[in-house]
Amino acid sequence: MNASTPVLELSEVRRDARSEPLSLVVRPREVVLLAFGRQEAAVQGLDGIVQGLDEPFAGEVRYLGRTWNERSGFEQAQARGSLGWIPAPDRAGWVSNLDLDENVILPARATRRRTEEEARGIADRLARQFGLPGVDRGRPAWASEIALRRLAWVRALLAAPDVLLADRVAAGEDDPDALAALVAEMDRVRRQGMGVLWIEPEVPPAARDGIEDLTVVNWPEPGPVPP
Amino acid sequence: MSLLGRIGAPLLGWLRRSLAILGISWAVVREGLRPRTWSAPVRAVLARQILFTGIEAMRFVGGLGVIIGIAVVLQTWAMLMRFGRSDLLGPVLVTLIVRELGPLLTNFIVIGRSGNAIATELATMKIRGEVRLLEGSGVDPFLYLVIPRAVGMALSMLGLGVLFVVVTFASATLVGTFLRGQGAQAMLFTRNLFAAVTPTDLINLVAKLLLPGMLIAVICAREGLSVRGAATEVPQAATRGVMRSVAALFVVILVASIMTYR
Repeated sequence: MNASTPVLELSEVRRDARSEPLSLVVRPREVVLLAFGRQEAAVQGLDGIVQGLDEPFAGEVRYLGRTWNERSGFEQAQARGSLGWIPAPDRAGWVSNLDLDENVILPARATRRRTEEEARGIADRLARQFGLPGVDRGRPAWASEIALRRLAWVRALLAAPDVLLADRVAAGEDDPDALAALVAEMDRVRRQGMGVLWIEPEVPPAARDGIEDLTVVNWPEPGPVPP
Repeated sequence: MSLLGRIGAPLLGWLRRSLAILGISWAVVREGLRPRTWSAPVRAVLARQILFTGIEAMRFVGGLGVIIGIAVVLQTWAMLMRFGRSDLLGPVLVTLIVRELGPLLTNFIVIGRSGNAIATELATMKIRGEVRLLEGSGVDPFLYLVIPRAVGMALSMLGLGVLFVVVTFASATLVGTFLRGQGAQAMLFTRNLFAAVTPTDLINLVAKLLLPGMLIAVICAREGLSVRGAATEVPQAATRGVMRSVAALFVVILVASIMTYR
């Protein structure tokens, strides 16, 4: 896939009958920030549509050049393995019967993108970069909310994704240094070819400061309500 | 609804469910034979399943084997002595333990311990959004959650069933020797017992352990993953899983008996 071919393409995607159609393109080495403003309800479920877990009401999602329906079940799982995902803080983010370190390395190991030793080494390095002492070995239920949030960043970046889907990582993040570290890592990895779709209510200052060629897409304003 | 509809609807539902379970079981076998399925996390789930279902149940199954061995040999001995045919003790024990009681009891223990646990665990994971999280992370829930559980359950069932038979035979031998009151008869009793086991008995035993082992895991996993979102669905899924596993067990045992001893 060459540098100008989109890694992710949303064409006239509508979540339901009332939502406005959304079109955007993410290319390799590009960070696209979708600013949804006050329309939080509009982005609920957008991650599932991008990942091919849910069908959009209308429109089409192309990931790495193909729609999700063009792939077999195995190919879909393989493709999702190359899509790093940081879920929104209000979404379930951890498998409760696995330890945190197992949770963090699971996608990278299941898709065979990293060996265990390599995955653990990189995970510990990234965790320290994001202000944690390392990857916790306890159960997710015992970890602090901050640790869980940062480890979700580690997990998403660990599988060396082709595309990173970051859902509201800055909203509610109190530590500007940690966020700056994430943006720096995002910027470093995207220079190696990763595309990023970042969903936030508004453009965070860390994104403006850390990514010089940031592309901002504003969520389409809803049309007039029919009488 | 017409009378025909009332009879037909549950029958169609049963048929659909049975076909789905057979389809999933076939997919487990097909994917389980592919090396690409067995990534490190899938192997880890398999190891855990064997630990929980097989290794942790060994003491219980062994203990039960001792008790059953004593109980069965005492009753059979008394009955056969009445007819003066104590030489039939071996064949009767084999018929009872290897062909029917061993597989049946082992399957019941595993359904109660692990089938129930699989349905509850997967239903809880589904309700908490963890299955969707796995899917979203590129981890195929079928490969990661269902296949290692089904394979682990089948292998554990086989191990536990063999353990049950061996322990039951051992305790039966001890009690049988004691009843005959002659130490020298112990070897004769053991020989008598093992001579009564035919290759068909072994095929029958393996079939009655491996097949239900896989089916129980598939049924319970399917029930667990079929919940939609309410916490009250979790115990319902577990109950359905257990009851349907018991029904499937009897069907398999019946079919295996007919096919091997007709």
